[in-house]
Amino acid sequence: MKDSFNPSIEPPKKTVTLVSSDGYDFEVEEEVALESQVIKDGFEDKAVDDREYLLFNVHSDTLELIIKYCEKHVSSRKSISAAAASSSSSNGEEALKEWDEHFISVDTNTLYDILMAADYLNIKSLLDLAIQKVADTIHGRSPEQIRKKFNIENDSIIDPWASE
Amino acid sequence: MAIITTSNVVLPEDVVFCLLLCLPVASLLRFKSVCKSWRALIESSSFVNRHHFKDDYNNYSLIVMNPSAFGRPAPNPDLYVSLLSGNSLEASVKLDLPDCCNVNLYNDSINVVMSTCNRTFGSIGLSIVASCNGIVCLYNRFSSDIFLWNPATKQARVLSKSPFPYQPEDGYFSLDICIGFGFDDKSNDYKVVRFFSLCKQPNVPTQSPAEAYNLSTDSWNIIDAVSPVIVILSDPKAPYRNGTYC
Repeated sequence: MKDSFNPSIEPPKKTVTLVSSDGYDFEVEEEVALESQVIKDGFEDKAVDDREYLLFNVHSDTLELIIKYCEKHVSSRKSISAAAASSSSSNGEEALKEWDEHFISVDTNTLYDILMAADYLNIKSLLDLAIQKVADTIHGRSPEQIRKKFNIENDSIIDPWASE
Repeated sequence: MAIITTSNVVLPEDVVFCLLLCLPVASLLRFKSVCKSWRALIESSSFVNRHHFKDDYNNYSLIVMNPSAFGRPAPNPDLYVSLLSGNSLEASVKLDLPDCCNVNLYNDSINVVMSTCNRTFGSIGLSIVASCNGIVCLYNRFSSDIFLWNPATKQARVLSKSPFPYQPEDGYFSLDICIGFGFDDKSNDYKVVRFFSLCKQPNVPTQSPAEAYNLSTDSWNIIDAVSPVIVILSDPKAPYRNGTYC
């Protein structure tokens, strides 16, 4: 075998470098980075030694969370399909749902940072997760509270809820 | 470009769209007054469609008028519409039609003939024609008014009157009206159809004009009726896929 002279080292995994808005480098596996549709689009056209992405809109604190989410989802998908292939019972999907719920239970600012990053990077499942969480927190609010929260100017002519 | 600050966020429009899709109708009604762009978004037909089909509205229940309305009616009976789920009536909503719709809702002096087509009950003129995508079509046979009513938003509208009045006259002695309601995928529009059976002799329909109403234009058009229609079954899930019945 070709690599029998050094069996302890696996062939190096292809990696991609993500650079946060505050200038930190994150080296992640290719398949993890490809969870982002934005990175996936046109990925093949990029030279292998030029796989570095500057994410101007994502702070390192947020990027760390995003990578954690993508890594978890890549590995869970693998174990779920492995379990399906060996037709052994698996509660992988439920466990992942639970993990997601725990992952997204963060303070408001972090939640919005994740939401905006997921939108910017176009990570559909994470965006849906964050949006559902925001929806859960705002559905009972008044229009005025919503305006304040989302920096919306009140341009409505009639505001039947203003007195409430 | 979206600006992120620590305390407030400005959401991009596509995110707002998805966010509103996750909210229940009650919240949406309230959030219409947040700003003009939210109102326009919530009221847009693309949003309404997406919002509707996002939820599992496919668990159709039978929609029924509350039987309590069929006792000895008061001059202005309160009508309720409920969902029949299992053996019980759930999710009762008071049928709160605008004033203009309530005219002749109840008329004791008219000799009631039970009509299989219009499914009228007792001496209450109002009947459910059909429900589709959460919108209920109602028919008041005393005033000939047809309503579309959304129980979730409690909004109702009376369809404009047909410009083609069919009256039993000139020797025609019977007029039977069938009404159907549904959503037309092809034109992306809600439609109401009316078929009339005009008879000169018993059991010999000699004329059966038909007309269709389009919600988007709020207007009636005459349509070609192939043969006299006696019963219309309005089903929100007509067994019609890809051009064929299945």
